[in-house]
Amino acid sequence: MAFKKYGYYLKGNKIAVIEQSDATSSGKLAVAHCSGVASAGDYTTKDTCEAAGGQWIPGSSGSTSNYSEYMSPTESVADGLEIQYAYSPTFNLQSTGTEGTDFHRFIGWGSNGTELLLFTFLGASTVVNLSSLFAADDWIYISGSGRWSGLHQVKSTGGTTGILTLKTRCNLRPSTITVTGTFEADDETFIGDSSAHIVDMETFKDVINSRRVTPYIFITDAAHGSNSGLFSLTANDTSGKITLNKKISIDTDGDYTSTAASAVDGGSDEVTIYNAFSEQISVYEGVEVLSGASAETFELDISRYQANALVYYLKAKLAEDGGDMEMREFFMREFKRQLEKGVSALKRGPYIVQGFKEMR
Amino acid sequence: MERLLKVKEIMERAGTTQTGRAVAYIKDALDEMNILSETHVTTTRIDINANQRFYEIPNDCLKILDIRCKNHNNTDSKYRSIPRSIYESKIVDEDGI
Repeated sequence: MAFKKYGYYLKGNKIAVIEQSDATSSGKLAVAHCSGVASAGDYTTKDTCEAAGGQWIPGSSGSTSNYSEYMSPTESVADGLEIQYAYSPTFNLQSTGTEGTDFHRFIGWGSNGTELLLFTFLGASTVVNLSSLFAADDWIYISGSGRWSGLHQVKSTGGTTGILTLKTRCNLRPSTITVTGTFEADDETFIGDSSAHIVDMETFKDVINSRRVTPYIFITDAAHGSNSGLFSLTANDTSGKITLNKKISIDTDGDYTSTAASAVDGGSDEVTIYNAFSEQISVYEGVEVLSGASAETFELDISRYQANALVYYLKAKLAEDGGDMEMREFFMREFKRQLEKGVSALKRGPYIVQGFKEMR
Repeated sequence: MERLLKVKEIMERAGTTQTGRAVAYIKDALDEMNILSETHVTTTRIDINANQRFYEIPNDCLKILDIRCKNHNNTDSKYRSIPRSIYESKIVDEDGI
């Protein structure tokens, strides 16, 4: 694996990852000269140098290209970015991690215009029925998705579409279209059947191509299972036509696979196409959440000492609601004091500072 | 190991019976605790895509503690902390993705 130098900066609610490019030399690297003979400096051409019994060293030069500048990452790296962060423990995960029971894999996400969708697909042609695995209002915990990692609630299971709809708000532009068209097996394409559908497809294609290096779509409701699923797209200049490149799915072992798309011929096929993002998403069920009717019996995953601090915070807020600001300040101070004491109680011994790696 | 406290026990200690309000304030308190003292920490890994500069911060993130990249300053596929740039890169990300 290549040696890399990364950096980052924050831009709004996003992390901008930048990578230092390779440096190339510029200008002359060596000046042509004569060597291995007395008074070598007198011989300024190859012919005279070699006639005097010397060796002619040719000159070389490099061209100016870049100076180790920071730019967007130059290569894709699976799991290349690791973020360590603090989160609020408002849920307890009680999943056993049994695949198909309380642990499920998804291959990507998208939006129906208002809510977040998770996509899954099995093998080459099997649309997954999620209705027996999830139920509306279930709480789930997502990991492996940079943006959506955390707690979510199911809105609907989508039945035999392989799409899990969550209550989490999400809007992509474009999100989805429903079109009637023809799949062609010889060149792995799909094209709208009528001029109206061609325009719809072209608009959809243009927008996702303009925003993404490798756009992905999730196709559902196709007549043949092979034509449904999550696909990456390659460029196609024909109006209203898309070319399917790779199909992302999960094999029988539960591994993520990426294979060449293999469309099956089919005309007048009304399909729904979602703008999708390919991510290896793990979804856990069996989540106890600090919410709803069972909130009072929820066990907070904090130490007894931290719980005491939390009581002070609660008292401070109740005092604030009652307009007693003096009491509020007192309890808030106690909250912070208690919290600090709890943290500093875990620290023992002197601090050690590691020197620079160049130090000997 | 000592038993974890339930919300009801916290409410009794604070002298309130209003569950909805108490739960809302407890959530606020947990946020505050983690921003001040990082009592609960986790990590997530995201794929780096060629030419993609911007990556979403996880939904449940309250405070970023460290950002590491694979193969940063090494060739052993290890994750190392990457430095924060004070300035944005002069080579702008034209496609904005």
